[in-house]
Amino acid sequence: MKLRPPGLLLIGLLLGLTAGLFYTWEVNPVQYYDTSPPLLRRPYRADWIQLVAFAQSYEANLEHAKILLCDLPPEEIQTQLAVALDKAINDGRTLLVLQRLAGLAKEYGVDNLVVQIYTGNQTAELFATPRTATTLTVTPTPRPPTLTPAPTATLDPQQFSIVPTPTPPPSPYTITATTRSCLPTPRIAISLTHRLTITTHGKEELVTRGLPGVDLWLLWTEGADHAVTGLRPAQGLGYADFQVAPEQTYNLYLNQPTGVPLATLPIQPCQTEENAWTAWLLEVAYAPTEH
Amino acid sequence: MKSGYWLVIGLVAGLGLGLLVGWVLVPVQYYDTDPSALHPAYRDEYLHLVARTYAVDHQLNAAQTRLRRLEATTPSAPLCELTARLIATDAPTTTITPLAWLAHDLNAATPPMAPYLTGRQP
Repeated sequence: MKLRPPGLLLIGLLLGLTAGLFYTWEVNPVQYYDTSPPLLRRPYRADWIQLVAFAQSYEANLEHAKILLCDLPPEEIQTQLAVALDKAINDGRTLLVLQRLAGLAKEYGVDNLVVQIYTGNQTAELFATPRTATTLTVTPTPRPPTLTPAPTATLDPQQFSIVPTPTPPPSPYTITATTRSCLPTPRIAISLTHRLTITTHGKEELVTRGLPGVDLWLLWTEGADHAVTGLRPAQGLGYADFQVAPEQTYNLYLNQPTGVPLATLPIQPCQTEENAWTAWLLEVAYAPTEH
Repeated sequence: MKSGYWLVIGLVAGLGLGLLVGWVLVPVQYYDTDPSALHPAYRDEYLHLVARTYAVDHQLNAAQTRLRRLEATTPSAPLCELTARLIATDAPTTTITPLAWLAHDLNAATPPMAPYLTGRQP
């Protein structure tokens, strides 16, 4: 069969087009040397966002951070800023770093409890936690009776006063359950709850909720550690935990590291498992005393 | 005109069309690039970000890993080049200090960086 010129032209065109596309798409494609962050591979984009966050925490410059995050997917920015803040908390970064990270996260619409705490929006709730009111009236120290040269000593009743023994107000925190388990890494965890009366459709109902923003202190012979409930919302709003060292005894305090500890918790090797240590989970209820 | 010419004309025209489509009209789109492909301005920003992050987290291995992504001859080479450029242009000390400290901790500090290495960074 002999092909006519238009048929040959068409075959030539198709062959040429195929060859041209193969060359430009496979053999020698366009090279992009000058890309921008939005074109980065997903893990690199995530790293870029976290780098911007940490750099912002080093030197606060919100406008510059916004330029560097421009055109990146908003949901990725939110996720990575929250991750960066969480990481910074776990790594024990300074308050200033955490505040700047939270500020940037808030700017991008992250609105979780951690952000609220470090941007100051949760202050009211933080300090709404009752602190023990210890207003004690100090009475004058009794002076010894004045002795007169008279054969009988006279006692001036005005110079004596009976000093009432100040009894500390009962703690609003009560341990409701203590769970002792064995873990390879010893830990002390606290779940703090309080009871609230809520009104739903005109009906009052008593519910138990986690209590965030309460200071927890762990003191031992060589040091102290501090945590705040609610920084891991996934574990519960009233949850906080401490990594602790084996063969050590810890005193747990709430609000202030003074007075009688709420609990004294020894970390000992487990009898039932090898290479395992005591892990404590304390369930604590908050019930303010009414005056 | 011989019929073979039509085939050649078709091939040349098709090839030209293919090149036009492949390079200009529908070029290969790269969405998954790595930091080595960043525009020079973004590469500089990347170096600033790595250095400032290091100033906060002090994780040298992480900083090294990030610098390696620029695929330079040595991880610290782009860092030193940028620091030298900023020193030469009298950039603010606060801009240079984290870069100089990272270069120092990577054992890549140069004598001009010395004035920026007084006192540990925050």
